[in-house]
Amino acid sequence: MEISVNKAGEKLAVVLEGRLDTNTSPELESSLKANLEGVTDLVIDLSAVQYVSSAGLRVILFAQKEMTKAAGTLKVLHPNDYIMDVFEATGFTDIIDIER
Amino acid sequence: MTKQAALRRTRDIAAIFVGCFSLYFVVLEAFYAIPACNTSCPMRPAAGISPTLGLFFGAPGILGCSAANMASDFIHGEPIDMLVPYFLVQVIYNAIPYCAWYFVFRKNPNPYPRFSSAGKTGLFLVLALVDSLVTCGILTAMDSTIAEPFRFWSNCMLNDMLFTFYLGMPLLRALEASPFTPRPPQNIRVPYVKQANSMTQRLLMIFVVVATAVMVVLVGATLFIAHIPDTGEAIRFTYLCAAIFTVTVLAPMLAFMHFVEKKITLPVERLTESANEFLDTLRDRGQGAPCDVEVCENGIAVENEMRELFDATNAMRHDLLGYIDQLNAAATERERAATELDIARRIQMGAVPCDFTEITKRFGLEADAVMHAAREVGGDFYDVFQADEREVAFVIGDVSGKGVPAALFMMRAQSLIKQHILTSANLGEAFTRANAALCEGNDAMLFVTAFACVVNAETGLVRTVNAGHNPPSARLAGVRDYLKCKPGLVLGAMDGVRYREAELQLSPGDAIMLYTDGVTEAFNATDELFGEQRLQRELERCDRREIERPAHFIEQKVLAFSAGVPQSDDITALSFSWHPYQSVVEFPPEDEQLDRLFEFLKGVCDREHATPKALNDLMLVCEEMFVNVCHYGFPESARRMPVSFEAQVDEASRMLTLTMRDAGEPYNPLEYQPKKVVAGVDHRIGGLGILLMKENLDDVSYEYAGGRNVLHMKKNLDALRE
Repeated sequence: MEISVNKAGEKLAVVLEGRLDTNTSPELESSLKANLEGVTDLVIDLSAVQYVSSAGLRVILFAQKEMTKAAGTLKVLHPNDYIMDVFEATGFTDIIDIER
Repeated sequence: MTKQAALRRTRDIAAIFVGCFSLYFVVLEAFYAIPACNTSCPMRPAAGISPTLGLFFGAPGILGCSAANMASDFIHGEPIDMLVPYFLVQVIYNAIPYCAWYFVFRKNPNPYPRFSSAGKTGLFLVLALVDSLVTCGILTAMDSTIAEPFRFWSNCMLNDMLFTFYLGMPLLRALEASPFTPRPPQNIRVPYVKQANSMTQRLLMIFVVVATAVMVVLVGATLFIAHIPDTGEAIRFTYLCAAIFTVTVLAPMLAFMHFVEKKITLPVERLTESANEFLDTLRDRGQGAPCDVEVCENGIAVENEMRELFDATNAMRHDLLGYIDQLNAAATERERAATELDIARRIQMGAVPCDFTEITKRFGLEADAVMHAAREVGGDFYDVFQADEREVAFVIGDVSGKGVPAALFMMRAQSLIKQHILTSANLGEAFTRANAALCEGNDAMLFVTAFACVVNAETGLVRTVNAGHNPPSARLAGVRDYLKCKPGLVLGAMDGVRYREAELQLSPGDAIMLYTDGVTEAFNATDELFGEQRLQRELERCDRREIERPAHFIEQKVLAFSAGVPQSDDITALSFSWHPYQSVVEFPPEDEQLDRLFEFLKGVCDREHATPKALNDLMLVCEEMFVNVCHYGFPESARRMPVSFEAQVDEASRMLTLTMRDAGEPYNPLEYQPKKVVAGVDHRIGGLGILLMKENLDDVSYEYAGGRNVLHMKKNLDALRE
């Protein structure tokens, strides 16, 4: 998976490309850990992601918790239909700000 | 003639009669009232307008004026028995110009009264003279009481002639410009066409006006110098001077005008007319009608500079027609060529396969191809065909050059390569033979680069051979890179060259992309090359996103890259990936094996034509279950045993039964009660995964048998989203 990070002050935009599964989600987690200092506006773009498993969900949950701690916001952008199904089945739609 | 038309005609005739009658009467009576006009030499301008009205309007005009004269005679006490004779004389006077004119011009294409040439003007002058001579002669003879007959006759004649000419010309010009149309005698059939004032007419008018002005000045001056006290004598003197002037100056001037006309103004008018008609002539010619190209010289004498002008015009027209014919021929030829090229393109596109569903179904090889020619026909080709029972050949080639010659050579190359791959023991031999055949009769000195590989769909062994072509890109065990292969010489360059086959081994899920240099050597607007590195990056991106049609993906990227720049070379790409059908697989219980598990699932779903939703759900479930085993199935000390997956499909119900077996700690995942996430509560990774499993399977059951956890997962392969 390819991760592109664009940090501008308090805003952090993360664009992912590829599958977010057990093997690739640790990369995302470390990338977030390295860049979340002072961030209150986090955006994760899933337009180029075709698949998210529960490992991916865990990292997104981690991101949400971090933002709550920092009194910031997390937005997840453009999940495809199948990823949306996963969000709905696991109740993520209720706790994460998802923008289609 | 219909009743309406007859009625209208009668009405018109009556109107003309009344109009002419009134005009003549008014003018006549007006001058009767002026004492100065009624001396020994009477001034009768009315005598000038009635011949012209007769000339223009024919019978109703003639009779109208004559009747008005008779009415005037009656008012002035003329004896009753003389009224009719004088009426007849008037009729003769008014009719002579009319009859004479239409007689002279009866065969003329334009017989209507018009001073459009010096000749016609001169004729009118002569008619005025003759008419006055004759009529005044008759009048003089009729009245025996006249004291000096000669004097009477000459006064009358001069009056009539001068007024007819000098009043008649402007009057006729005015009538011509008016809405009235001239009425010819019955035998004239040519319809009247109102014509614009021509150059000749304009010149003539100017000449006559100037001459008249000069005459007035000269005569006035002479009169003043001569100082004749008697008005009658003065008028007679004026008439004489005017008559002399007319004969000595105007007549020669008309002759000169005639000369100018014939040599200059008429040819110019003809040239103008012809130029205006030329477009129509061209159109008629275009429709096949026979026509005269050259300017018509009937009735004009073309000499000297005019001759040069006419000759130049005619020559230009001939040249023009020649060019038009050439252009038409070229356009027809181009159209024909375009149609033929279009057909050639379709033949070429038809020669390369584009539907790979059979290959996928029978051999588990997913293939995708694009061919984007720079011109109507291209020099690139690709080919996919069955080479042996379990082998499929993928070939790509690029002929030097573009367009029709390259296309022809390309089709030859494609068919020779295929033929020799099918009949040779190995690829090296195939290319050696194909090369020999291509070198034969290759007068145009074309050559072709080519790469061929034959995939054994059962073992995954790929044999390759290269003849100067770009090395393909391959994804082997998830890693994208260019194949290292010996370039070899291009085909068709030199006879006797020998080629050698190479080998490589694929694992399930591996892919190879063949392409031509139209991809890597595409330019963008800033003269950058697409290049191998960019291609590598795009293919990596393509892999990450698991794009279904990689060749089309690359084509889009190249076209977007070189947007705005005209395509310089054919863009061709052919990719395939190997998904052998496996019904059972086994992996060590490590996270990294997940890709192989996914590959296995993809293979099963492709083969069974499962929906994308079914595949996605299966991937989710299997990941959870497998990773669960990897992370929690084996405590620290235990030996990590492989996990197996087995797929069985019930065709009738379209139900896939996937059975996972592992020799880890006994664990029934179905006992766990999963809950959806709630903010603030920590969830075991396994919990979420098991929730997903239950959501995405149609049925699941667990048993512990033979020392193994056995999980049966059932999924409908035609699953769709809700």
